[in-house]
Amino acid sequence: MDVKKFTVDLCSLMSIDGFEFAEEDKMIKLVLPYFDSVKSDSVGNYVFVLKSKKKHAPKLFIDTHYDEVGLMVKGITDDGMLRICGIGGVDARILPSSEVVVYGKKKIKGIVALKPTALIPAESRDRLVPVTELLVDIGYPKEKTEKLAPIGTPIGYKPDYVTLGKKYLSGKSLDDKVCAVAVIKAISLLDREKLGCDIYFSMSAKEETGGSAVPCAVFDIQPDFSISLDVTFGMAPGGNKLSDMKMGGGAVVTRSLLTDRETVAMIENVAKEKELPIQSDVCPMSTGTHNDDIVLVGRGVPGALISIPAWFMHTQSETVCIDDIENTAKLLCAVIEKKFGGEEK
Amino acid sequence: MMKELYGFELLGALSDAFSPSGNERVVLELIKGQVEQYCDEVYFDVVGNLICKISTPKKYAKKTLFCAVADECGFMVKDIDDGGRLSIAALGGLDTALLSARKVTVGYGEKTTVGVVSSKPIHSLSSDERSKPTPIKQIYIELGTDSKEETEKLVKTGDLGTFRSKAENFGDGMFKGKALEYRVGCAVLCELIRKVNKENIDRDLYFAFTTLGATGMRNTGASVAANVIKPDNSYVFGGLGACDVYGAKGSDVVCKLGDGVIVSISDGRTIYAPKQTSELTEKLASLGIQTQPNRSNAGGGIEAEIQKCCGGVRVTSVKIPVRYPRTASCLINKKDYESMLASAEACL
Repeated sequence: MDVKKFTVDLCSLMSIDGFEFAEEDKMIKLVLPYFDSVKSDSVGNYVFVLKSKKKHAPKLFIDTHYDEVGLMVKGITDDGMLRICGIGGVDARILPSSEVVVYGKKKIKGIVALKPTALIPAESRDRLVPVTELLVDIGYPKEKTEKLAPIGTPIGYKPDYVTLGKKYLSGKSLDDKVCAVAVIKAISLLDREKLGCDIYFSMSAKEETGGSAVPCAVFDIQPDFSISLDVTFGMAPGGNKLSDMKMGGGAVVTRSLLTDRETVAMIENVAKEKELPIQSDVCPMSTGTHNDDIVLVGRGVPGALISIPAWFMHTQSETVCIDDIENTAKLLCAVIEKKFGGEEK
Repeated sequence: MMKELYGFELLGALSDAFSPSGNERVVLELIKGQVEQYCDEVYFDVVGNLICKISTPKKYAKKTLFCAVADECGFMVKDIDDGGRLSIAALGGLDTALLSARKVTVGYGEKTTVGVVSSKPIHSLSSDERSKPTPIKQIYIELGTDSKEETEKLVKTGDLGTFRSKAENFGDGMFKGKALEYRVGCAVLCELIRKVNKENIDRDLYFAFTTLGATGMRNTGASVAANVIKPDNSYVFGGLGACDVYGAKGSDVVCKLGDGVIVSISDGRTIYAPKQTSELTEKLASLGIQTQPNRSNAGGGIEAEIQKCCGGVRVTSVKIPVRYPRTASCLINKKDYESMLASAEACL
């Protein structure tokens, strides 16, 4: 499995919150070959299952969120432009003149229209134009726009992927699909004969809008153990030196009130044994990820959080180090084999 | 020999060329390859302008200069930090706030690298900073390198950069690309050169594709071109920023996509040669070519320079509306562009 190619293929798909189903055929075609079966539920989660050959095997829940931030059509102006609102945390700094795709009756090219300075009151010229006051230009007159991109149509950043230097990949919605790539790569590395657990891999819905759908999947499956994966802030100039993680420094293992201490220690030991690079992050209360939504569901699930550092989150140029994806995959594979492969207990 | 391109294929190729101010040679070599065989003389002058000449058989003929700016808005690499990241300075009219999170091309000549423009991460911004454009001092370019040494193998200080963009059809009869406000003029002149019939001209025709025009400096390559050629009259081709969005009214609109070419009477820096300009406007009307007024005083660039060169030059400008100029995604109406092609022929 070519990690870079797989990442571009998966991340190019549109899966804005509430529209996770939009390109499900293509997504399932990419991911299902690595699993036995897939089931989607009524709140938008896709759960891929890989069964152990053992009877009554414990259930391991692995979560990454499949949704991505975007925009939505809120109205249409007399000259055929789209009024918009954000879905999830859209960075208003990067929108003006950005290229977007309007997922209407067909895929339509769009540009976030630059507001002419003459139309901005003098006292507001040093401020950004708020997202809800911006328009998207698709170059069609009103009547046609109303047919092609009616109110409620989702809008996403244009997929445009580049390799930076030798080992960085940059493009839209690596948050959080790049973690799904790490999981799928880990599955491809697993020795199926040794697999001692049933794996439930959830590509979950609606994380970016905070209306997390993953508890429904957890409730349904009642797993014995959970590992969540998400992206975290990569170290960059002007960032927070205490909490930002080194790009290329390996998977980030989080210590928190909401992560299971034994599990975290086990992951750290596996990394040491296998000589895989890891970094430690400390998030006392909330980890700000799906982990927090999983561990206190139903009868409770001991959970761990593994993260991949990323730059420029929520922009069209989210960036990760490919080594981090590869190393996270190796770590995850080793952890699954160690914990559930009969090597322990 | 280079494949000859026409229409929007030609405009697209010129738009995609990496030629921020100071790196005009890339687009100029492309233009040279397209028109060389139709010209009597083709050369680069001292400041890098590409000059093409078609001579009349007539002796002591007057000279007409057709002119278009070849470069585009960009930035220069100022410094490389220990982590291999680039600090930059804007060249002229580039709005650096529009660079945030953009993919850019950096380099010199044909040797280029792709980078991503970054700034302080959003989670480290105060709520006040979040509502303001990012200042240039906080902007840097990430090349995916780990050290200064690794970056220096790819990029040097003083190298140039601009948006990374791909020209393509857009919406209902529109065309999108970077630098269209300048490259529409270049593309029209290329097509015009190919249409000249030497037997029918009574003037020497000069076509200048000039440098440094996007910097907004008072004197650019166009001054030198005009000083050396000493034309009797001149026509300048290019784009005029259209503000026909967000419900703009009256003079705020400047010009409108789809309403035809603009032959200005005057703009911020120039009063155009009255007789030559009104004659062209009348000719365009008689040919049924759609024109519109410049509703404001916006615009004005190399025309003002050419006008004041040597003993003075009669200048007329022919523009088409360009939406979102100086961004990675300028928009034009294809009908307007075809009107400009027809207008250029009418200038012969």
